Amino acid sequence: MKKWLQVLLLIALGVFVGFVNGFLGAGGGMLLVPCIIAILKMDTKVAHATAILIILPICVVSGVIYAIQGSFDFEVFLPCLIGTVIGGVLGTFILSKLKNDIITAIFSLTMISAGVIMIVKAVA
Amino acid sequence: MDFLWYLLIAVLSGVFAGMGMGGGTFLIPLITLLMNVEQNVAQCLNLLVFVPMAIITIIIYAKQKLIDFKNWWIVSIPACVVSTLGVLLAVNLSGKVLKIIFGGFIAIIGIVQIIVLIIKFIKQKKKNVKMAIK
Repeated sequence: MKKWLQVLLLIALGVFVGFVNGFLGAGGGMLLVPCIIAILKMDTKVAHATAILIILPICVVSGVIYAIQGSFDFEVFLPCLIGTVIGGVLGTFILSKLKNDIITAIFSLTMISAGVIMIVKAVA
Repeated sequence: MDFLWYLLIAVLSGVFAGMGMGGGTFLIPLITLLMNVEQNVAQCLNLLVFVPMAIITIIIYAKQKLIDFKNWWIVSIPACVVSTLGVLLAVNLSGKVLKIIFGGFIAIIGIVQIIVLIIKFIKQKKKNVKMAIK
């Protein structure tokens, strides 16, 4: 792939992922990984690691703007911050012990049901 | 009591995040559905909660030389600029509309992942059959 095309695709990817991640407050990393693998011919592990670096400044910027707009709630934030760090450490240990496809299937089915419930609840 | 529930939900989504499966797309629906937190508050929360874990993870990965430091900013800089537009749009929409869009988004991600899994499963089976014939 020509260098200029690669740069153009990366900028377009940034625009897309930035919008989604700001608008929905999540999902940027999931969209990034397959795209940077395709554009930069990266190894999956490198793509996962690099996606975190790409997403971090986006999360800081959009998180702070949400907070300025009045969406920050410290009483929810504190327990969630502690919980996420504990869970994150646990997750890295569990990862090596469980079969990946089964987790992906459970995760996907949970996402589908959660998504549908959210829509139904919002419409009803 | 709420504190413990939040903690429990966050541990669960943190586990998924630690496994590299997008914990955020898990934390937001759980916390809005089970705890009745506003959608925009949950989204703000998810973005900020990610920051400390991300910093730790980046340091670990950088030491293992798993990060491409050459190109990341080409994606990240335009993303940061545009993300502000996304936030401003989100906070100006009604929580109901935002919930519907978010619900649709995670359901689609789930469906795509299931399809990818099924394709992988079928390929594996075909491969096994070929091996058996040989």
